[in-house]
Amino acid sequence: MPTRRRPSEIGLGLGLALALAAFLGAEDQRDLTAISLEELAQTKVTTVSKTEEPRFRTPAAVYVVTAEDIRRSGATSIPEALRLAPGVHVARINANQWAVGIRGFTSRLARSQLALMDGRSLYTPLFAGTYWETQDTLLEDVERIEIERGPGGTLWGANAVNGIVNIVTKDAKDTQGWFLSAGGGNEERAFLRARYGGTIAGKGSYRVYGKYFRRDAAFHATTDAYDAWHMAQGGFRTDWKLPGDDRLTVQGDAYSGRAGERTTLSFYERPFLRTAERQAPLSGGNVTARWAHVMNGSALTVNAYYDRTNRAEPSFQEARDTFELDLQHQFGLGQSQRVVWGLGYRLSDGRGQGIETVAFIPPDRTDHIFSAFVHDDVDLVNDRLRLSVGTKLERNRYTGFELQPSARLIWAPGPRHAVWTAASRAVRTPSRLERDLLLTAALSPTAPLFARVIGNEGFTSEKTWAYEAGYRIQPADRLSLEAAAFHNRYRDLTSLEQDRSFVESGRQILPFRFANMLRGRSSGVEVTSLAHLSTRWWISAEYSYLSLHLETRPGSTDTSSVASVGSSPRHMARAQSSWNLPGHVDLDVGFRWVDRLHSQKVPAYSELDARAGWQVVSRLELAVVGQNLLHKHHPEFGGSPEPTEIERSVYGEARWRW
Amino acid sequence: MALVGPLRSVTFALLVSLLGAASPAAPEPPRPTEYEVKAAFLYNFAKFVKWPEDRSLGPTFVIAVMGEDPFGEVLDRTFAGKTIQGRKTEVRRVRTPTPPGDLQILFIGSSEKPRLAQILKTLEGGSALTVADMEGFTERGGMIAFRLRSDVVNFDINLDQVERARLKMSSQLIRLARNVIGKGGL
Repeated sequence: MPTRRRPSEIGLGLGLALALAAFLGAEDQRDLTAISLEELAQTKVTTVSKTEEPRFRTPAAVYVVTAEDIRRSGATSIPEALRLAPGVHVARINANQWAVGIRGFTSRLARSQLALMDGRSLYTPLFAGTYWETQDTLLEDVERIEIERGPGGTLWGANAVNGIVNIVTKDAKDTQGWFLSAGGGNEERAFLRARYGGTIAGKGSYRVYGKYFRRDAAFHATTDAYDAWHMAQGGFRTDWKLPGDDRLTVQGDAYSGRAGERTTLSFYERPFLRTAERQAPLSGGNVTARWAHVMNGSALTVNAYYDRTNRAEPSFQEARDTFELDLQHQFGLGQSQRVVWGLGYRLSDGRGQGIETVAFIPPDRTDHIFSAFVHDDVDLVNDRLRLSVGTKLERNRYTGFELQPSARLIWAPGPRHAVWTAASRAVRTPSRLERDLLLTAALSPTAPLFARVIGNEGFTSEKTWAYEAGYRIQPADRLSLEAAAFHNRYRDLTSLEQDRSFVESGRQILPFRFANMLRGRSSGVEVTSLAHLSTRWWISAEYSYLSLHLETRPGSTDTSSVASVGSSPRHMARAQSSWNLPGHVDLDVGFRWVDRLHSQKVPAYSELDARAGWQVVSRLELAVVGQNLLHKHHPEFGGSPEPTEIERSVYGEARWRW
Repeated sequence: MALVGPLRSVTFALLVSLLGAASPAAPEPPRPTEYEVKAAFLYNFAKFVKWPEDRSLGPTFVIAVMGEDPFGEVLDRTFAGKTIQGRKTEVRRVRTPTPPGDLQILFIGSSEKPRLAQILKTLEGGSALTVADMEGFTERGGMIAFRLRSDVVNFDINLDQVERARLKMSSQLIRLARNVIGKGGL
């Protein structure tokens, strides 16, 4: 590929020339006291986390929910906090389950969205998706939640097709002292959160936390209120300063709780259908260690974690151990290029057991995933035009090597304008679900008629080409606007093919098989705006539009999967107004409107959340939070087996810090 | 994969045209460190805040660091040879807050977080501008809290506390703050 070599040679030559110029000019340091205040406020500094570029200059649709946003929203769980981000569809299925969709494909286990917390993957490879009810931490210790809409497979790996949720918790040095919060209400029945942070003889800092909550069931028109739940969680984080500029972080969490579930189970003997209600035990724990070595102009990070999850649902239980080791190295190439490359290995071992009609074959399976990526950020014109190119190469046991290249370009003609565009390929690799599942469902309580879903060894990856563009503008100091548009083309999406029925031991079986016979395209726009009307009043408004079209390939016998289009709203809008009132009172009001979900039989709805917080003294804050205030109850997603509605919630909270 | 080919050539053409056409851009000056910028901010705070001309101003203008010092010699270098409100500047490291008049700017190191309430209480009635790095500092009664976001240093201001200490803060400074607690617009 001779043509490929030339630009890199030019880049290298230019880089070397610039490096030389920088070296020769390094002696005359700028006097920072001589520059204007405004200029100082825009001066970039060197920090350990060199990848954290200003969001304004990021060539992707990224939104950051900050610690302050979470506090002011009154959100008590991570999925509720995700509602603050534009283009993210969060639907609470019942009291303890959420469906999350970014740019479509909303589902309880969204297969094409990746979620991480402090470098630890929250995605389960068994059913492919994230169980949001068990992903928690002390929300006060979350520094930010970055939500990237669109594919991020180059840096993050497979399954980051439609979006990434990256949760980052605070450094232990930023969570010093005591924090205590207690409260309760009609839905948030009772909660208690405590944290203590201290220092270790000037060498580092630590924190330990514990939390407990008990939440009420949602509204059920026709069944028992089965979905009340409670959870206890504890954890720690230590951040050490090592000799040189090295940093070491060791952190861990453990949780245990019970979530009420109601499932219709199928059996081979009469009655073929039985309903089970159970307080499903959910527990798990994890330990992460991260070492960052900063050298002059380059940084090496090694991240390793071990994670254990135990789920025992009425139909299926699984214990899963995951171990992952990641290495990442970034360095400057000349003055204009920054290269990041990395290697990763993940081992995931699951041992499952189900009732007689739910099985994985084989029941136990250990997956090994190897990955490598390289990413180059090229400053083409004086920090005004930047190109990011990269690719990830991943090897998994199901489909072998998967290549996920992407190219992103951003042009920022001034500090207040930026235009970006991107093209990426992303894949969603098969999970055990599509390969190993053997699920039989009774179609009648009395007649021996069954449907059976059979895993397919030939199931392959879902592939996406995504084209994106975005524009950011800050027309005035106090006003910023952002728009992003995308067009995705999907190939080899999951379909369920119906095969010829047969009789097995006197039972009529309708077999279905996972296949890749679905294809589609989606387009959409997301618009975000923020206006600081005064120093104590600011408002934000967001709107997102999604058009998703799916079709089966010729020869497919799938008649149902196309309807999954109707699980995501076509339109969504959100507006929020925040005030800092006299007398140390914060007031926040958030309104959202979500279009109907026709395949979930959920009508369009509007809801309002509000929070008033009063800083009584510097150590104590009292708050009252109202959620879903407009309706006594409303559905957000088709519940299974019966629809469930989310109720109006009001709770009070006291927070101490000292 | 059919798109990789065309994409590659487009990318290549773009690279060549841009790198070829652009005059060699001036190299970005080496970035200062976080605390060089924060020290420069402290100097600007001294410039854009007016202390009452009474016993709260001593013979020298004192910038003090309490607890763990993240600046090192950077702070001394920043204020070397500078004058504020007609006074020579002096950088000190202190262990306890001193009586009013002895210091004008107090940077409270993160190591003091457990004792913060006590420290702020001691300063009450004086006119020291309190600055810190720690999370929640302005909410807890401090005046200016530095924040580092996306490699840029900015800050929150608790204007109520600033005014309680009879300090006059320039609107130019207030406008740059990320968050302002207390008296403002509306």
